[in-house]
Amino acid sequence: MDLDSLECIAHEAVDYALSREAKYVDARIQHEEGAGFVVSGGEVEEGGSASLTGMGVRVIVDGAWGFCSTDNGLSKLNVKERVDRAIKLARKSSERIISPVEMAATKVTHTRVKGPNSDFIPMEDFTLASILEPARECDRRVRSLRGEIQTSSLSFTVGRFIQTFANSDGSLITQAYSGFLGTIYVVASSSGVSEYYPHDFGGLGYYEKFLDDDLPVLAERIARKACQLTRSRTLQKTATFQTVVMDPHFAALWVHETLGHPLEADRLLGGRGDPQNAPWTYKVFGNKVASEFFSLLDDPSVETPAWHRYDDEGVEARKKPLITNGVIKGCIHNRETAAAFRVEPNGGARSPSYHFTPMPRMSNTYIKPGDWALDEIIEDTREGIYVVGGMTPLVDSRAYEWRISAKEAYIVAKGEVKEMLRDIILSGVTPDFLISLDAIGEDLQIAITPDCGKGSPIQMLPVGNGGPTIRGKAYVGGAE
Amino acid sequence: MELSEALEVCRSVISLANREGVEAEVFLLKRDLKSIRITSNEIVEAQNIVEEGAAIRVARNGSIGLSATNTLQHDSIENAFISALRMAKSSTRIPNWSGLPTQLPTSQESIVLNSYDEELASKSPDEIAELSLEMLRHVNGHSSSSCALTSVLMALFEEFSIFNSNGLEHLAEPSTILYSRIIVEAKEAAECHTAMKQFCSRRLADFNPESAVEEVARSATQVLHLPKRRISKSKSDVILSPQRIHSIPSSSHGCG
Repeated sequence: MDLDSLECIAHEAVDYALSREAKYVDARIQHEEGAGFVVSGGEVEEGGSASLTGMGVRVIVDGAWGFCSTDNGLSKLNVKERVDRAIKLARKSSERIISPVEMAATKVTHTRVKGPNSDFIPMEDFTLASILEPARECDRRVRSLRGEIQTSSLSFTVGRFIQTFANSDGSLITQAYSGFLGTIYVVASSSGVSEYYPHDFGGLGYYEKFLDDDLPVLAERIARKACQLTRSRTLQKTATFQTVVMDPHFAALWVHETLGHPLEADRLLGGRGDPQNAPWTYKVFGNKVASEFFSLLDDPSVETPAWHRYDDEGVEARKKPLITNGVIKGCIHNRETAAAFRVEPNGGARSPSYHFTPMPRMSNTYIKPGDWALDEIIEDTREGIYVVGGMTPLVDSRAYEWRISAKEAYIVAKGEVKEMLRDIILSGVTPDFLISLDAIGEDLQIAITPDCGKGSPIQMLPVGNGGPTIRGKAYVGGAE
Repeated sequence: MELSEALEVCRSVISLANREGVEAEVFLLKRDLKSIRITSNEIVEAQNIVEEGAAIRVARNGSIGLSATNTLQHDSIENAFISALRMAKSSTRIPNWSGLPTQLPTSQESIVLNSYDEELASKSPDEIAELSLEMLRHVNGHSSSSCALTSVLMALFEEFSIFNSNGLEHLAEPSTILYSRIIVEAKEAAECHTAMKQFCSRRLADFNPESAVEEVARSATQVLHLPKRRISKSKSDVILSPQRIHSIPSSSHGCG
């Protein structure tokens, strides 16, 4: 389907809904093509492809929302029928409405934009031939190490997307981009100890350089680490409070769970009715929560699979200062939460597809780098634990208490990285940990989370999170 | 699209497979999800998600290729078949592959018994919204403590058909699910407590909004009147209710 046809259908849906007395309407049409493989032990385990097209229509009628999506056959008749369903649902919802939906105003935009490096990947070129050799090279490197490798697997998906958005304010925006996502993992086993070491990755545009140059090196690195971990000791389960140095990837996961989600505006609004479970940021919004050298940003222009120029409500995406010099300054908004906060919308409404309504979501959320080199942080640490890579997070519903396991950990003593440790878990209280931060590194890295979930029905989206190396104080426990 | 039309389009895969000398299987799925979310006693989200599409599995000398499309038209289905065949050509052969099945592993007419409720399937989106409103009415009439409801009510209808080039054919297998998560918040002076219940059933008749809401509201209100005690941290035996056990896998293995 060409761009003109997609835009024409979106327009028709908007015009028809307006003729049915909708006060506001937006239509999102998406065409997506993707293909992926799972390669294990150098052999292809699975290969698949998909081509998906569909539309989601959202209306406000009598002050209430209604939404309907469809994916087969965007004929005029089908589109009208779905718009009618959305309108009916809105009318029903309006029977029980306390405050009519209010959306913050935004600029009307007409544009077609392309993602960075996104001259479209010809999908017919994405065959096994293009991935099998790099995947086999990964496997060769993994297996050449030792007999400790039990299994290794690489999943790799590429996709190209065209999204057209039209609304009754008059905006018509088409964005096209392509990208890739994947996960590589290794399981090593030795003397009764098994270690699983995964790594997620992703990017925009062409994937060849990543596949040929970066992936084999990455595979070898994680295989070496998995083998080393099986020969490492762990600490006792009883946690002790110590100095911890988090590498950028561990910091990324910590940021995601304890700061990113709690600064999505819909959560800050206390779930609109459940303030007891509102995130910890609810009561301290606008206050100082960290030292003045700590700042947090959300930036959709970073070239990861979370990149977007316009959000799913047609608002121009922008860099959002969330914490500036230790003070919570802002949050991630859609147009509805922006109206509730009496601020301008900042382009934070995202949804994984036309089947879902957009909600405030992170794009690339990261700690602003400071001026400490990694070596300086380590040299300055008399005693502590250095954790590399976050594995499994567990937070309470307020993101107040957190617990995250590390992929690797090391003892730091007298300013030097010493012995490697396996199965280490860090835990803490978010505001206490923030206050304890006393060193922010200069080595910013963005890690990919391919499947951040939120909402009900759950919406899974790729996000980027990151930071530099950071040092603070937390509880450290092991598996012994 | 009517099932007969969709089947007519998808059957072309079988003749394409025969022409190429490969095995092929088509899985045709239609899903209709109605989801109503109530927050602070008002409907804040009313959604109807309609999904329809076909997945094709091609087996060529024991190598498998998969492809899917949600555009059920002849050229899209043909492209999906070509794509699945291309995937199969590059995939590794499955050891001891014995071919696509020739019959379903059950003689029952329906694969899963009691998984379909016609009454639930026929509910329109606004009728599901009405069911949510009914829950609200029960909360509001519950007690003197101020109670607020947060809930998600989801009604899912699914219908799948599966057929392959070996003669297996199972058409229009329907199923329904009604799922609800209810959180009631009770408030009295500065005290505020919440209680939560999840409900899942295949049939509408098993869902009683009045008793579901009543139970959660009572539980939230009861906590308001409990004496306050602070317990210091220590190791202790614990007894877990089925509800708590239910929450452990979802907490420890991720949400969703």
